[in-house]
Amino acid sequence: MSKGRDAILASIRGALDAGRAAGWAPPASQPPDFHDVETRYLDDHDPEALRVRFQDRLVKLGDSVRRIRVADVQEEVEAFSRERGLQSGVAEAAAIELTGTSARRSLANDKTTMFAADHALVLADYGVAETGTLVFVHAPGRSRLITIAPPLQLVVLRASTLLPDLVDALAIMRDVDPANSVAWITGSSRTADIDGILIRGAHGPKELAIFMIEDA
Amino acid sequence: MKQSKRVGVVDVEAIGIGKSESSRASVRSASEKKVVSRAMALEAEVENSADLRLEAAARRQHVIDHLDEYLLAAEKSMTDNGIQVHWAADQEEAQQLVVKLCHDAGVKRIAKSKSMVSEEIHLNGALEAAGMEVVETDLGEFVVQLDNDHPSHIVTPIIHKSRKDVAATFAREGISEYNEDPEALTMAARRHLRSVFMSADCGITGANFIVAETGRLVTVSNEGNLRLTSNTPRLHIAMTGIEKIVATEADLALLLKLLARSATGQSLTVYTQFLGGPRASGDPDGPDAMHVILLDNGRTNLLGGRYREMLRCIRCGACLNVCPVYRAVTGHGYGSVYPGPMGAIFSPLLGGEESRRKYAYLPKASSLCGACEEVCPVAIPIPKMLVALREESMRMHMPGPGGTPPWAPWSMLATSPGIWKVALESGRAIGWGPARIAPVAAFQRWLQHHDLPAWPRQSFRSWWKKRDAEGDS
Repeated sequence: MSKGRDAILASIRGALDAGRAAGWAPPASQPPDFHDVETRYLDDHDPEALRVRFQDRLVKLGDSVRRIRVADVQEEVEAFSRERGLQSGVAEAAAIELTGTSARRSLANDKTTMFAADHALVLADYGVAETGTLVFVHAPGRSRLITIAPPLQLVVLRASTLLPDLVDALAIMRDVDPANSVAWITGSSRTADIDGILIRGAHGPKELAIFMIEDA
Repeated sequence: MKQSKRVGVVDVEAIGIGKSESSRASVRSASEKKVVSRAMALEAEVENSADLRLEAAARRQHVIDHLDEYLLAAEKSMTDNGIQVHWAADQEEAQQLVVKLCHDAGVKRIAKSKSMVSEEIHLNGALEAAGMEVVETDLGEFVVQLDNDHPSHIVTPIIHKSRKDVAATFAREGISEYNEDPEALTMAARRHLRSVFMSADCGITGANFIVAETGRLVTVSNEGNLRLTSNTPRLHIAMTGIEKIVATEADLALLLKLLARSATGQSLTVYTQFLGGPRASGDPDGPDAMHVILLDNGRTNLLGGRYREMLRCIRCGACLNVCPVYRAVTGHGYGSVYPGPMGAIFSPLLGGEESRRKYAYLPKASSLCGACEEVCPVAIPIPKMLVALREESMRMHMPGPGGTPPWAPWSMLATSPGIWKVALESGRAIGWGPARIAPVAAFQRWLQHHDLPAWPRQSFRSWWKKRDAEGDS
């Protein structure tokens, strides 16, 4: 604890008291004057509408979403991996279990392997239709680097987990232990720092290939 | 350091023959593009954007008006999550804190992701002086650091540089062969910085928000360097201003939607991270220790007075992009860490009496057109505050940089028609205004980032006479 703490709190209280005395600031006890504004952009619970919107958003961001049946997921992921000549990836156990594809990728999750991998196979916990966002809840034991270090991301997502709006994605966090981190990923890494020209794969993945399992 | 050509007392390169013209043009076109994408993202996509802005303002202001309570709640939540919380009253205390944390952990190399607060307290210099290597990892900041330059925009730091400038920098520094292709340049930086992430012992980032209820740090980034910086090294230090607290995660729906749309016209930034704490046992990665530094540095001076609404600012940069003055003088023209309309208020008010004097001229750098207030996602009445600051600086007798200008020569010129004419004609003949060649240090410093208009070939009077003589009608 630094010596600054008490000094800062004292000057905050001093300033707020002065502000209250002068009528700048509201009384300390006054409840917030909030209004219910419609922050929700999308309130559509029709499963097909959500899927179409989610796919559309990611395609607009330059990434791909394949809508597949659960029975086809192994074959689809394998075919994609062959086509891209993927050799040395890293994977989450849950994604391997769901897709049944353990060739070409390992469960090793040390930094060196993560940075050297040519791709990652991961399972997203939720998707957000409004923005095309993938939600990763970092329960204990889950790698944070796996979704950022490898340049190509094969992301498996259950269509039944699609949420309409970011408001819903924030509501879910009430049930997550505050000490657990959550990552929202909306498209591939990008920069426009040089002459305003959009370049993908600035530091993170250049491409997301999403395999959306139609499970409901 | 860059070499300058000097003619007498005049730094020819600094007065910007050729170079600054192109830099201003890139700032102007980039700003205009961003204004269009913001309008498309906000006004076309979000029906009630005006209501949203007012509500966002109300929620930010509520926290600021009860800042002591929310800070204590945030501190408790973060501590419960295993995050170590520190408070820094000013620049000196903040620098010492970071240096000590790094020193105690035996840090040699630091990966840094863009943080305006770290710019505000001039952190890099302090860390380097303590013998540590600091590498900026945001692409724009990386270039700025290689060039020994300063960022000219709070969201897009190298808005003033072209691809040619970046190519030359990378070639000079051995990052890559000279290549003007933005893709090749970006990939070269990616390759170079990956080794930095792997070898750094510490990552330093900012934080866009801290949630009081859960103690999570919220960070946004498009490149992803922030995620690598905060999760690869064994130590993570996040620094932010004391005003960046939000009450609950539910408030973020509003703020994140407005932030991304206002900053870049995206509906959401690519990476939004809610950092709950350091790695837990069994986690394969994440930092072993996580520290948050809450910086005051003059923010409490704003709290109780007429500038308290400024603390709502979420650093989106929308007010810079629309500002006619920002577009004309670029970020460097302000001579302060925070440029543009928000900078014209923060720069004199943050950091105490010295800043107040040093930046007393900034609130005057505005036409008071009101565009900044119109686009502000948290509805800050910027023009009103600029006027208030001007008024106060007059009352406090704060002259511009370099002291009160020497008015005596001017008054002699302006009150003697004969001398006035001769001066005008000779100025026209050599094409330089007195300010350009005046051996006054303040003028010359000013000219490093500003241009004076070119002299017209003839005066209006002589043009009028000639026109009459030629019988045009």
